[in-house]
Amino acid sequence: MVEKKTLTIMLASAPFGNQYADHMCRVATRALEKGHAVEIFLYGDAVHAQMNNQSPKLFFPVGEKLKELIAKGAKVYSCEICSVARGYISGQLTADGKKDYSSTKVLDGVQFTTIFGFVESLARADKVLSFGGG
Amino acid sequence: MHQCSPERRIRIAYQVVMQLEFEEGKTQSVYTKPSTIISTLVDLMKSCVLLMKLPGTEGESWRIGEAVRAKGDSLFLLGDAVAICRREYRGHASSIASGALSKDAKVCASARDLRARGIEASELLEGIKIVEDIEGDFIDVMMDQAERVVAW
Repeated sequence: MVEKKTLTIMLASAPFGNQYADHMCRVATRALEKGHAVEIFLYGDAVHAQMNNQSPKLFFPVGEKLKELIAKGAKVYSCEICSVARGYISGQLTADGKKDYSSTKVLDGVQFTTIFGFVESLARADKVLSFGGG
Repeated sequence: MHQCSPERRIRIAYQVVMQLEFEEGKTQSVYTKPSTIISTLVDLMKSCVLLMKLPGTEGESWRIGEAVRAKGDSLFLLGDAVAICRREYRGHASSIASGALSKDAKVCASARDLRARGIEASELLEGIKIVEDIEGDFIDVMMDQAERVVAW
C-alpha cells in the first residue's frame, strides 16, 4: 500500500482544442486509483471543461471523465472569476450574503473558488502539476 | 548523488559552488549568493519530466532537455511528444529524447499515443521504453521518487 499523498493539478487549457484536458483526466484517474488524493483547479478557458451535457462524439469525453473523477473522490475547483466571465455562474451576492454559484450549465460536484483557493490547494499538495496554458 | 541526504546535498552544493569560485581565482573571502546554492541544489534533485507536446522553439527544447540531467531522472512522453522518439525526427526537439538517453535517464513513451500516430517500435531510438500504462508509471515516479516535476 502506497502512502496517500495529495496531487494538485491546474488545468489551464480548454478541452477539445488540444489534448491537455485528456492527459489531465487520465493522470488524475490513475492517481486516484493508486490511492492518492487529487485536487483539480480549472483556470481560464479550462472552465469550459465543467460544462454540462457535452457531446464530443469523436473527441475524448472530458465532461464525462470529470464526472467520474468527482465520483471517485477528486475535488474539482473552478475559478469563480473565469466562470463568471464565461457565463457559467453569476457570482452575485445573494440576500444572505453568499455568492450565487447556482447553475444548470455546470457539472454536479464542481466547486467554485478564487485563485486564493488554488493557493490553499498548493499548500495541501505533495506534488503539483500544470496542464496547458502559455 | 540522487540518494543523498539533504545535509549531504548542501555540503556537495557548497563544495561545487566554492570550487567554481576558486577556479575563477576568487580565493579570498568568497561570498556565495544563496541563490547560487539553491540553483545548485535544484540541479541535484531527482527530476521527472512529463512532455505532452512538441516544444515550439529551440529555447524551449533546450530548457526541457536540461531538466533531465542524470541517471535516475525520468522523461515521460505523451500525445504529440512521442514524435521525438523517432530516430528520423529532425526537429530542434530531437535532442530531448536522445540527450536523456545519453545521460542514462529513463525515457518512456505512451504505447497508446505511438499507435494513434502510426509509429512503430522499430522506428524508435534504442533505449526508449514503450509503456501501456504510462500514466500509472508517471504517478509512481512523480509521487514517490521525484523531487522536481516539470510538465510541458
